Parts: sequence; C-alpha cells; structure tokens
Amino acid sequence: MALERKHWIWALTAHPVPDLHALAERLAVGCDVRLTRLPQAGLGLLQLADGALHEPYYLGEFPLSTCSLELALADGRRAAGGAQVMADDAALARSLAILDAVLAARLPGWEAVSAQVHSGTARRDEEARRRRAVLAATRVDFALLGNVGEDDDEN
Amino acid sequence: MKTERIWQADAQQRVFRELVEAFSRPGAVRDLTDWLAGTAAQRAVLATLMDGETTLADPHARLGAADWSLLQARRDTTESARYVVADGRRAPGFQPALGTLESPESGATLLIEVAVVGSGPLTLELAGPGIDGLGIDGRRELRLDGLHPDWLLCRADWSAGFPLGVDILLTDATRIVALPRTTRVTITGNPLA
Amino acid sequence: MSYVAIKGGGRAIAGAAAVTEYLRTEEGLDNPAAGPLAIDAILHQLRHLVDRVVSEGGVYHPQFAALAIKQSLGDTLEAAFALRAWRSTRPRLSATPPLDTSRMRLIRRISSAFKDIPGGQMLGPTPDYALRLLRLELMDESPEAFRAVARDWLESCPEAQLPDSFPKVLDALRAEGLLPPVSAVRDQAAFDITREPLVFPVPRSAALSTLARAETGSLLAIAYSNMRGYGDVHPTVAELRVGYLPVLLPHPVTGELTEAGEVLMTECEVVAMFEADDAGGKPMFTVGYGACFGHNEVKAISMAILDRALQKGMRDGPGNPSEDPEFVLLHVDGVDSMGFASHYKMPHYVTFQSDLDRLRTTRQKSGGPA
Repeated sequence: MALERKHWIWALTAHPVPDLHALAERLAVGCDVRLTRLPQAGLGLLQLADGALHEPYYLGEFPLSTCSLELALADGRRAAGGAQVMADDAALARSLAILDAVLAARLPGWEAVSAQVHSGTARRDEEARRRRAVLAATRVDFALLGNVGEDDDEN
Repeated sequence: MKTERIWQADAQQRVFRELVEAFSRPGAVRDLTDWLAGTAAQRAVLATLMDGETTLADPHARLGAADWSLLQARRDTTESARYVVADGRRAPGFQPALGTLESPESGATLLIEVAVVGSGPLTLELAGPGIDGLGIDGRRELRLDGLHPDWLLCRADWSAGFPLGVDILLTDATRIVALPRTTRVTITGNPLA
Repeated sequence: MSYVAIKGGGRAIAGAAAVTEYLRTEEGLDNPAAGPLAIDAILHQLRHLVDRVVSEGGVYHPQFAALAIKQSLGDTLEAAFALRAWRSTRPRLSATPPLDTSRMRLIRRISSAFKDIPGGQMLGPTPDYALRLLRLELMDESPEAFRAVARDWLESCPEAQLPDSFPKVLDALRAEGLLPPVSAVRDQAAFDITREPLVFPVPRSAALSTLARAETGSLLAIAYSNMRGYGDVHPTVAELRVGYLPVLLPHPVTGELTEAGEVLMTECEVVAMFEADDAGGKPMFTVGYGACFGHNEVKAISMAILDRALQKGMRDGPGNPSEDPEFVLLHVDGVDSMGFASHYKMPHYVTFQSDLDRLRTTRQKSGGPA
C-alpha cells in the first residue's frame, strides 16, 4: 500500500498518543523547532454535499487540533511539517507535525516514523477488515420464493 | 523550542484584560511592558485579538508573512475588514467599515501606531462615557506625538453617523489608549494649527 | 415575562447538586463490587445513547458525549446541552470542503426501492428483524461470557472481499433522468447555524443543518404527522447507509486533502411522489435527504421526509405543519425546547401575583365573592 503523505496522520493516529509524543520528542532533539502556526485545539466544521441534490451543508462540528512548524538542523537542512488531526489535543497536533516534517524531508530518524506509519496502516487495515466482516456476514442474497428450496439461508 | 511571550495564553489574557480596561476608560493610558518581552504593543494586541474568524487589513504593510501565519486572521480589504492595522504617522487614505444600523458593531476597530502615547505636542480633550470627572460631563486630556492630523478629521467624519463608526486603539512601543466611537474629541493643542 | 430576584436558595441549590451526586453513587453503599460507569463502557454498550448525544449536541466528540451521559445520569437532553456548552467555548479552526459521502466506510447499507443495488444490500447491525423479546439471560451476564461473544464472532468470520466504498443508489436513478437535476446552488456557501440566526426564509442548507442536530423525538413526531396524513411525501427509502466518513482537510504544507479522522454517521435518501416540472417537461420523482452524526436511522429517515416536505413548503407555501419551515425548524431543537420547558420552573412569583390580582379584580367586578 502506498504511504502517501495524505495518509500519514490517519496511520499514525492508530497508535497510542504517548507513543507518538515519545517518538516526536526523541526526533526533535537537536532540531530547532520554529512554529509557523501555533498548536491549537478547537473545532472544525464538517461540510457535506447532500446525497439528494448535492447541495453543500454543515452536518456539525468535530474536535480539531492543528499545528504547523519548521524544523532546522544544525547542518542547515530544513523541513516544513504540519498536522490537522481530529482530536481535542494541541500537543498531539504538534507531535504529528514534527513527525510529518521528519518523514517528508527524510531527516535523521525518518525510518522510525516510516515504521510507525506502516504499523499504523496495518492497524487501520485490521479495523477495515472487521468492518468488512460486518458487511459480509449480513449480505442479503435475494432469491424469489420457490426458486431455491425453502429458504435462501439454508445453504 | 521557545515561543515568544505574546503568543502564550497567559500573556494574551493579561493583554486582553488591559484592552478591556482601556476601552472602558477612553483616554486612559495603559502600559503593556510586562507582557511584551520587547515586541511592539500593537503586535501584542494583534496576537491577542486575532484568530481564524477575524478579518484584518494591513494597508501599510506592517506585518510579515510569519506573523500572518501565526495570527491566522483572514486578510481582507480596508473597506470591509473588522480590524485594520495602520501606521499613524501616515495619513489614513482609506475608508474603513462603519457598520450598519442593524449591526453597528461591525464597524472596524483601527489599531494605529503612533510615536508616543501619553505625551507630545498634540493635545486632545476627550468627553463621553467612561470618562470620569465632575458629574457625567467629565473631561480627560490625552497627549500624543506622531499622529498624522488627517486621522482625527477622518475619525470625526467616520463617527458622525453614530452608532455607526470606528473604534480606535492607539499604541506606541509599550502603551495603549482607546478612543471608542462614543468618545467626543476636541483638539485643544495642535502643533500644526 | 418578569422574574424576581430572590435569595435564600443558595444552600438548597448546593444541596441539590450533592443529592444528585449521592444518587449517582448510591449503588456503592455497602457494596464492594460497585464501581463507577467506565466511559468506554458507555461508548460501546450504550452506543446509541452516545450517537444521540453527539448528533443532538452538534459536535462529534463521542468521549465527551459519554461523559455528558454519565454526569447527567443518562438524560439525553441534559447531556446534549452539556456538549453544546462545551463546544461554545472552543475556537473554530476550519471547515472541510464539501465532502462526498459515497466515500463512507460502510457497516450497513440497504434499499427499499430496489432488491438488487450495485454492491448489494448489507444489513449490518440492526434490530429490524429482532423479536422484541426481553433477553433475560443478559440480566446476569458473566464477564467471561461477555468477552467471549465478540471474540468468537470475529474468529468465525471468513475473509471478505468487498470494495472500500459503494455507489449511491440515487445516482443510477438520476442517470436515467428520473430525478431532478443536482442543485444549482452547489457553489454557494452553506449556512452556518452556529453563527447565524434563522431569519426566514432560510436556504435549504440552513434547514439541513438544523434538522441534523435536532432532537430525535421532535423530528420523528413532526415527520410522523406527515406520514400519517398531514402531508403527502409517501417516501421510498432509496438508500439508507451507516458508516464512517473520512474527514478530509488540506494538509498545512502541501494543501492536499488529508484524512484528519473519521465520523460515524447515518445517511438516508428518499424518493417521493413525482411531479411535473415547471417548464412542462416530463414528470420526475422528488427527493429528500437526511443525515446525522452517529447511528440513528429513525432520525435520518425522519429528516429525509422533512427535507422533502420543506422543499415543497419553501416552493409552494406550506399546506401542512411539516411543510412549514418556521414551524419545523424552530421547534425541533432539543436544547432550545427543553430550555424553554425548564425555564417555567424559575420563580414567576411577580407575574403570577399579578395574574392573581387581575383575577380577583375581575371576579369582584362581576359581582361574585373575591
């Protein structure tokens, strides 16, 4: 599965939050972290296109935390990172933005972030598998009465 | 990692409190030095007031790209922005939003930086709500340095149709003073007059 | 309306809070096995209660919804009120672009319009076919048995090959030209009911937002009036789906839409009585749309019926209460209506004293004893 940047937050947030903080903390050591947008927790507005006439409307709000920053290494390398995550946790957005910057620019330690993205994706896949199981276990096999025996469930 | 003092919540709460005091007592000069850590008072006020839902115009190009990003305010024209940040040494040269009769609160708040708040050759006599004195007709004197004279002419014009009008916060390096639209201003000492 | 400032209730009010807290924890008296309700237990075992509160509170925060349920002792109106109060303290950081709900990760999808729909029908978790018999075995469920159920079910599930998303049933009908074209207001900004008051007439997007956070029972009651005959929607459920919608926001650096999380939601599209179009073209079905946070099918179906009824009312004027935007939209909000009902408990001593005076005066004038 391709691990495009747009899937990183989703994959990383499959892990416990303390693990993400620990990793970000470790990787930020020796970097100069400059916040370009302060870590903030608030709300986002969920806009949908309605299913009948495709008109935009707001279904409601959701907790949202955001942060943007720039990492600078002693050797002059720089990396911009950012995160918008559905959580009421500004510190989480900051840690995710650090991980985003490290992985995007392949700064030292990026392999660890990449590994977390991979294992997070595996967790998400497992979640998806369970949901598919819910669907598969309840799929309706229509058959007209009298066509196949007594009941379509008796096969 | 260090974050400038003015972006920290406790400093912003203090600055906000000072703004409340300043607008409650027009013409009373308040000092923000304790919360500035060296930056200009106008910038601290912006950091306190701006968020993703405010609109800001910057006709005199006072803000850098980094500050725009941190402030998160939406850039708007001087004609419609809820806040306008300006250099008081220059003539205004724009028409701010004055609000509507249904919604006078949508008139702009102008954040104007001058050379000195509290002393200087320009002397104003202020009257109106929040200005203490004998009876209800209190008077307060405000001295300023480095405010282009056009600002006061324009202010008189903008606030003529009360309750429409603009609210003004003047700042220098460390101090603030408010001139809300309810305050009547008379120029009593003018170096240019 | 006038209230009177009285004092002397302070101690009683503090006492009332303590008594409520006493009732919440009373189970623990002389009972070492008693423990507080875990937030996770509410999230999972009372999930439909959480679904109601996130949707009526208007903010998708299941953990805080569970907390609100816990502190309100299960009162959904109070819990939704607490969640709304919390959200009013939070800054608005951004809004998503209009997201396409066909990307939902489904756990349920049915149609009562067609037997065969592209992708098939999947019942998912539903009580629709259950006998409404009390399951007495749950009266005394052992933790071991409880834990075994989910594990056993999951182990028995075969690996399923299914797509990640499913097409909308309505799209097939629209392709045949049997539905009205998609709205001309697609590019207009949606109405934000958390910022703007409802001043009628309001656009359809304001109605949809108001209905989406309406109180389930209120919505059902008005929709039911239409179903029973005070209206003529006669809906057919083209599609009812429940699933997790990815919430997409632009990446702060690249601008590319990035998944910030997901929300569980229910969505329903109904097809209703056909009409000839104004220009004298061929008759077409009319459509209605309902959606809400969480899994709440009665709410989504009721909303879809009301959306269709209100479209008619907005266009032709209301012929029934359920077609009147003002009547419907101003009376379905749970926090509004419970607040009004509750306010009658406030001291009205002055107004009532004046009512008494007037009654006595009137009786005296009419000659009877005062």
